[in-house]
Amino acid sequence: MMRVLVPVRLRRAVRGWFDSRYISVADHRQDIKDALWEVQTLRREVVTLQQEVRQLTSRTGDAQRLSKETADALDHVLQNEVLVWQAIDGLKERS
Amino acid sequence: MKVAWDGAELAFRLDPEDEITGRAADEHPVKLRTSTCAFGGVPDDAHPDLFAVAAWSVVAPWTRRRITFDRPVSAEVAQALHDGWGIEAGPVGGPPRTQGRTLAISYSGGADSVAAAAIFPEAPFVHFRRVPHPRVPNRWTHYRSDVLADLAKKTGRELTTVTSDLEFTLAEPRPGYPEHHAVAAGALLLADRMDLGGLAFGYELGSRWLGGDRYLLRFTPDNPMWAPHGAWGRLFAAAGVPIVLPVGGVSEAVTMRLALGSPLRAQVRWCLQGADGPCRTCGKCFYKEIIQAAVERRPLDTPLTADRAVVRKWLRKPPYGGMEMIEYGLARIPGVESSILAGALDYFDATEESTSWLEHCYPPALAEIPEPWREPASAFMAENAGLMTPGEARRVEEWGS
Repeated sequence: MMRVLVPVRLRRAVRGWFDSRYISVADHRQDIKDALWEVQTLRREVVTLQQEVRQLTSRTGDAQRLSKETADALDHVLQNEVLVWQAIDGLKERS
Repeated sequence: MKVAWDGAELAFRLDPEDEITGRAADEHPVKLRTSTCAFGGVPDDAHPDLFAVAAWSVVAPWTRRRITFDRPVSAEVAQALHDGWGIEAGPVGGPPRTQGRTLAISYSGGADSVAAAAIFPEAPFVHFRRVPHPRVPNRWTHYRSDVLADLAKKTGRELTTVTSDLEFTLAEPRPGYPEHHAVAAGALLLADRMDLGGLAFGYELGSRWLGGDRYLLRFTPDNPMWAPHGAWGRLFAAAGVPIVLPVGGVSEAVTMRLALGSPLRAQVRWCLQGADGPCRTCGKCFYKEIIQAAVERRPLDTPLTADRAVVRKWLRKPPYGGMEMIEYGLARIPGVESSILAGALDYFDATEESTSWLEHCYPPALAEIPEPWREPASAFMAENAGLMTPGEARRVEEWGS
């Protein structure tokens, strides 16, 4: 390895030039901290959203179940209506 | 059973002996949902016999002993109901309807009715379009009757579309025609206005002669639904609208070939679910794909896999309705042994020779087409399908025995 003596002034100028072009280690640390903080926030948000999706799906499942059960129940009501008229006509014929 | 019409709205009431669960003419149990239905696009001044037969096509499964109409029917229609079903029909009075001169086609848009339409290029169409029932939540929105009605319009043929919610009178097995003949209820109500003397259906060899669909799966010369001397045949004839089956003597392979070669090819649609085209994944699409691939002698082209229920349906052990076309497909589809249909090979010894009868016309089917339509239908079949040899006709007559 060869060592070269660089004048102090030149060394400072070069360092200054480098420092002005690149972000400092301290700044990098801060950036990483900020990013990590954002990841944590996003993680919490995802968890909340997942909970919401679960709630909503169970609610549509409920709506679907309810509409199907209502339609099935209505079928019976309609059939009963037919049977009621049958009974009424039967009574009329008898009297 | 008591039936009453208010314009084109039908309401009926059960007599004490009638029940919610009845049987259609093919013996299939059917459950009633509701006792009203309506028709659109029909006149309200048809002959009383036409109203009576239209009503009967809806209420027949649930009628046990008698039917009371809201207007007198002819003695002929009452007699046909008595002879065919043992039903006392009344009140009786008034002259029977005079048979008209026009043959209309009950047009669904599927391959079979397109083939029937090809035989009678001048015949007007009557198309049945399902609409929702005001009292029944529609859980069957995947059924695209609107798409089929639009395709019917694009045929360029003289067309009358009848709308009806009558299929929702049926709770089980699913909304559908209580009797197969209910598809013609609208055409019957139009019979006077259209001067109808006959109504042509796309029912083919399997339905008419092999007891196909959900019926007996054996040779059925006396088929109560479709034989001219059967209960329904005599009833329609009594109302001056005899049933005409132009393709009753040929299989679905022939109707497919005729439909794909007809001017209406672009409008053929057997799928009830697809919007921009056939869905390719329903049971009907797959069954018809088997027939089309066999007719076009190309490998099966389907996105389905063998584990799907609609495919497994055709891998069962026979007998089942439509099995003759599966055998036909097995004999003619290139590479079928490595297709999703391969499992069906276990049950059939299918060869081109053993299935050749499915490419020709069964002559007795032509003999039962009423005049004046017998001659043109016979000439068409002789030219486009050829008649079965006595040996081939025996395959029909020994079917299921």
